[in-house]
Amino acid sequence: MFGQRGSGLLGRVFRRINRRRQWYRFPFPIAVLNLVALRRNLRWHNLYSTERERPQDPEREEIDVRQFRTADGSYNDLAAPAMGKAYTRFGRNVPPAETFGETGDRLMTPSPRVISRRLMTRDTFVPATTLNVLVPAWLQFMVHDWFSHGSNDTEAERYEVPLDEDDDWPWERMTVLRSRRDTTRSSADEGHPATFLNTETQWWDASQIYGSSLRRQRLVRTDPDSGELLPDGKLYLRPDGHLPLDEHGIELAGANGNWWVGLSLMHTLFAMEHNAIVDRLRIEHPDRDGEWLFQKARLVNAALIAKIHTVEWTPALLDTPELRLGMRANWWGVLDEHFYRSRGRVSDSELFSGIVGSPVDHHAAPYAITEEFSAVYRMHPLIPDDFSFRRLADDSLIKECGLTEVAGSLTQALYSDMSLGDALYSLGTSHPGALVLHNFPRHLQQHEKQAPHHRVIDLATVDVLRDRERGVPRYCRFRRLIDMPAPGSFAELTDNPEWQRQLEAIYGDVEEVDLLIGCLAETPPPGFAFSDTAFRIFILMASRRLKSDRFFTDDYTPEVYTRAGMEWIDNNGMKSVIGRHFPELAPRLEGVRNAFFPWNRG
Amino acid sequence: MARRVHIPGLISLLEVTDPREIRLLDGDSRLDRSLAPGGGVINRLRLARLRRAFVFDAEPLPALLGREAQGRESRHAELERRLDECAEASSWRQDPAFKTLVEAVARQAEAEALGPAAQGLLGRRFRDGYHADEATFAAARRLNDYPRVNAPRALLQRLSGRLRRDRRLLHERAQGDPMTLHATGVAVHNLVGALEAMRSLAGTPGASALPRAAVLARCLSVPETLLRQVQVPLSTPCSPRRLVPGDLVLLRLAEGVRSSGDRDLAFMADSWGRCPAQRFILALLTDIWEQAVAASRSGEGGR
Repeated sequence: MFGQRGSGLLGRVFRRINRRRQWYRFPFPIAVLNLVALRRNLRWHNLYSTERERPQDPEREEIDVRQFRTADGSYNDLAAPAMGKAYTRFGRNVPPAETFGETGDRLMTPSPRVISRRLMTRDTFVPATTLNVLVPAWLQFMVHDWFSHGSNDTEAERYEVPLDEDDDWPWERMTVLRSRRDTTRSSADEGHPATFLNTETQWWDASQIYGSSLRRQRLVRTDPDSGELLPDGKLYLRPDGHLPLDEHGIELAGANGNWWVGLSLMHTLFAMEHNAIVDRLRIEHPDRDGEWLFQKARLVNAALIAKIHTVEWTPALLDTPELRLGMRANWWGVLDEHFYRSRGRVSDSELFSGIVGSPVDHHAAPYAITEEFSAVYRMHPLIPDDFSFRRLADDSLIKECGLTEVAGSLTQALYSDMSLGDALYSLGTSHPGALVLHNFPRHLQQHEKQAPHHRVIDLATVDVLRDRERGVPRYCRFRRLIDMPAPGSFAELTDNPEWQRQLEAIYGDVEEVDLLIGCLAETPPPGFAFSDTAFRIFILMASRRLKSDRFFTDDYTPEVYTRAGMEWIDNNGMKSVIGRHFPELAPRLEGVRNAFFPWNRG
Repeated sequence: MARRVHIPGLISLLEVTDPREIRLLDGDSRLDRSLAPGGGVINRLRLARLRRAFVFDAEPLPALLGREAQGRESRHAELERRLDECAEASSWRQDPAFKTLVEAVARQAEAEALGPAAQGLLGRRFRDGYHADEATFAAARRLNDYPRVNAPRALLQRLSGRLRRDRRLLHERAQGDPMTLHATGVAVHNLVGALEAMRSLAGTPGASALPRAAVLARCLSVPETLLRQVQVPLSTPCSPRRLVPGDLVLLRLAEGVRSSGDRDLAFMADSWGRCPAQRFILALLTDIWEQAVAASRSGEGGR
């Protein structure tokens, strides 16, 4: 029902080889083959569904589901219409038996707050000097597309996190809300691990811009003054080019939680891009109405975002020849872009002609974002604590401020001092933090959640606690379950002797190390901005988001996207999107190989 | 996901791992347990091996009897009732092997002790004086592995008389009783697999804090495969082509359980061929784990 193959000979051969030698230690051609084998093995051994019964088919929205994405993500797979829809369950990358959440003393051992303070606190900012701050902005922009656990459970008894005697937490106790439980569980789930609902559409459908419900979609398309849906198929932008504000004074978007200037810029940029696509499509299809133009532009915009993520953002973080080839091959195949653009696809093979346009395949389980994917995507150290905003025209200082002053409803106030172009320029020329221990933003360790929540949390504590609560295995166990060798000692985990001592003092046993901490402590492969452990889940899920989605596979055709839409996707990337809406930024990107690398200053 | 291997005259096999497909095919009366020769050469060889290993006194062991086999259902019900009573009374606690199992899981005894102890404990649920030792457990292991070992090794086992001697030893100890033979020759390996997994889990930090359901889900060991033979031609959504009599269907139970974490599937709870020992095994494993955790704690306290 979900494919008829296994990991194959190549997968089996490399499985044995990798017990002794990892893929990045091989010469280029073998390393590439090894990556192909790794992905194949992961597809067949590390995808698990948590749905015990087939979810009910959702009601159809009033659009042609063959031609357009639905607002809630239903009817992407026509044979399983609920697959990937908003408010369906997260899947897993490890066997369900391994995913019982930790409870009792175990949940707080060692205390997540102690880990936060002693292993994560940023003493001095460690920059990732090959990247710019659009990297974390983009990352969060994507995450809001793929998943959210929704708001936490305010009714249930809170977790009480043990504090050290010398803890500087301003309150006597630290309590954390529990994750909201899955309301769809039935008797079939008895005895099985807890499950959690993804409140966003799980597809790569730009739902962070367009919303995960019809109601939200209509909201972002509506003129707030008239209350009327824009008739031309565009997203609403204020006359000054900014997004409108919601009732809490935060810019309105499909998803606008945890808002900060980076998200604001990405959302504004791609709302502008949507409107530009609408203008282009209207030239080709003057007789089509606003609804048709909106839905087609959404398809094109979502595909362009997926392309930028695949061939620009990811290779910026994984800057090795193998991954540059690998990620481009995901989109165009190993024959690459020029061949694709001159000859099109040569076969259904995703290897030769890319995943995009190949036949849909869910491999071992129905499509869903997984808990483990959300765990390895905890990359808060990328966010700086301090921002320096400068004028695009002459690089002169406009303002220096902390993260809190560029977040939530304060984001909007920034734009009274500077233009969107200045803000983009400032982030494009600043470095994010490196993904290592002792580099967690201090602001987020005492962070007031934006309206309507207004609770103060230590996000580092919460990050550690959530993995334990949701049954994400700890680091060593996790590695074994994804067919990676586990370190036998702290010295094998990291080559930093100081970290080895600190980790041992807190954990005692390397088997106890949390996944997040292990990933931050691990020495990554050369050229990688993050750990090999996290990379295994990326290589699996990045391909899966494309391969499972009908609109990136079977229906990635001119008939569905329109000829002009396909050309738009082919001809554009991050640089051209920025250049279209902020032409004054073009010189700053000249000669820069990747828009996520630091831009030219001056 | 189903995989079809079909070479005319040689092999015709459908392998199924998806839990829904396993249940669907298991429930189809056109498939049955049958060791009668049929299908291509490899199908026949595979069935012949099963017959050589698991047919005693011209009668297949209970887990290989067809769904309509005479007396199967009543014996199955009787066995289930007996084992349920054992579970209710925790009758294993009086057995000398129980302490060994607890100690081995708590890592206070060698892992090698698990096999003979588990075999003895199971055997004595059927025959009071059942005696197991290293030789009987080794014989049971070789017998259980026989259908899966490579051809030269299988041939060597036959020609050297090893297979015959193993079967005779197990048959004698079980006094010819098919249920005892099945429990001590075949089913024991799943129990030992589960106990080995528990022992391994017990050595990891935080294991004692795991909820019971998590321990059972992680450690339960189930048969790798269940074999069915096609009796009547059939078309099924699980197979890309029509199945004909003599075709073999391999239900890859272990993989299906691993992917779904479905405990009912592990025991084929809703099936005509369900495992009669479900309650017994779950209660026994739970008891051993709890005692082992307590033993570990008291061991730590004593240090």
